[in-house]
Amino acid sequence: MSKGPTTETRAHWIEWATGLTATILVVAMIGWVAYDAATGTHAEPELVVTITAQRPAAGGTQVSFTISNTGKRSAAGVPVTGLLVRDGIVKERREVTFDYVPAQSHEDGVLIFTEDPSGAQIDLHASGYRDP
Amino acid sequence: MGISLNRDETTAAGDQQRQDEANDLNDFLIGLARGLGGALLFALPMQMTMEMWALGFTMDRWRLLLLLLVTLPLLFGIARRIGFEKTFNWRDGLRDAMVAYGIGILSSAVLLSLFGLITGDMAREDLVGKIALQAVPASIGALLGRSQLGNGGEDDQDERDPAQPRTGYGTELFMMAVGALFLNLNTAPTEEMILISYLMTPWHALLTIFLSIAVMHGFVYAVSFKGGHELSDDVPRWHALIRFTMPGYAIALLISVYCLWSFGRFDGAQAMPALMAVIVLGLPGAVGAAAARLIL
Repeated sequence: MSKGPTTETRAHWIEWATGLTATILVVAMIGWVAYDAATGTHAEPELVVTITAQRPAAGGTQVSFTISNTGKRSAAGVPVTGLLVRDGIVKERREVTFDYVPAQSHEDGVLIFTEDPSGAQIDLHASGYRDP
Repeated sequence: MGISLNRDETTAAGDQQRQDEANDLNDFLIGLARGLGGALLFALPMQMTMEMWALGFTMDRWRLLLLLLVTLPLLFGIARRIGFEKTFNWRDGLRDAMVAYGIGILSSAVLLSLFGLITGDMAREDLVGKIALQAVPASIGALLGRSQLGNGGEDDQDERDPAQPRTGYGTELFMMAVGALFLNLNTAPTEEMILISYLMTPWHALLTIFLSIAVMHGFVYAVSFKGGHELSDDVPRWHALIRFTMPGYAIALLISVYCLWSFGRFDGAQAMPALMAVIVLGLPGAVGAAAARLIL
């Protein structure tokens, strides 16, 4: 009749300890997700781009930045546009696209400008997004 | 064995020994071939996955090293479980594990070369990384192939020995971890995993959790597959749920965390999106864990 190992009634206490620990873990996780489900309003992505560093490199100046999404919805195909503006004139325009900027996460990227940005203004912003 | 009686004892013994050695060599070669088959069967999907190629280069080197080291005790544990348990010793286990790892590395190198993914003039870091990463699932496959691709000879008799009707609790949990890791290695590198987690709402995630637990429990207890575990009549159903299924699911989740972290999927993510990805990956992990309890 029996096709495989049977589970016996009497189990070592360590099996119960492991089982209870695991159950508490899983229940805690369910509670957390349920709390998030109950409180989470499905808002739109909130994309913020901040420049973190500038350094001269081969082929120009590398401008590092972080794009963070503080919203509760992920964004896909996010182009980050950088403008190098001197005396009110756009001298250079650079763009890089992120496949994903997940909800409540941040991604790092770099734009490379050929012109020396000293004395000029660098404007970085996310130009748009689509739903994943 | 057909030794004629009129020969003297020493010749008979010598013949016997030569025969045994020939048998051993034959068994070893058959084992190698099965291992190679297993490596192909289990690792081909990953060798043909684009993200796995990229990871060979982009994966953090320390995390790759850790994965390669973790694979060693893992292979040893599998070798111990599926080998001849009664005659098992450390030397044989270590040998089986290393042979499987070797098969994994060689078969990965050959296949990746065949696909034109590795060439002589590429960066050494990329080359080694690609092969090493693929060697992990391939080596697990090689070991499983040795036990599962057999025609049900001596291996099965040993496994179904009525003197050992019940496998140890620790072994059971370990095999669940192996099963979860195996399916997770298949799925964790793909972009689809995180994409699914982006598309899901917390409500979807809750349903996924319940589905994972139900599938795990059903797989092993309710559906009477070959190798399924049957409950004694006097055991309430929830006993097995607490003692086996819940730890199994927790293990599947932990393995998911490990895989996602290894492949850098958590970098820059806060807790909630990370947890969503873990829950998504936990589903194949749970199925893998449950299947491992049945198969191995």
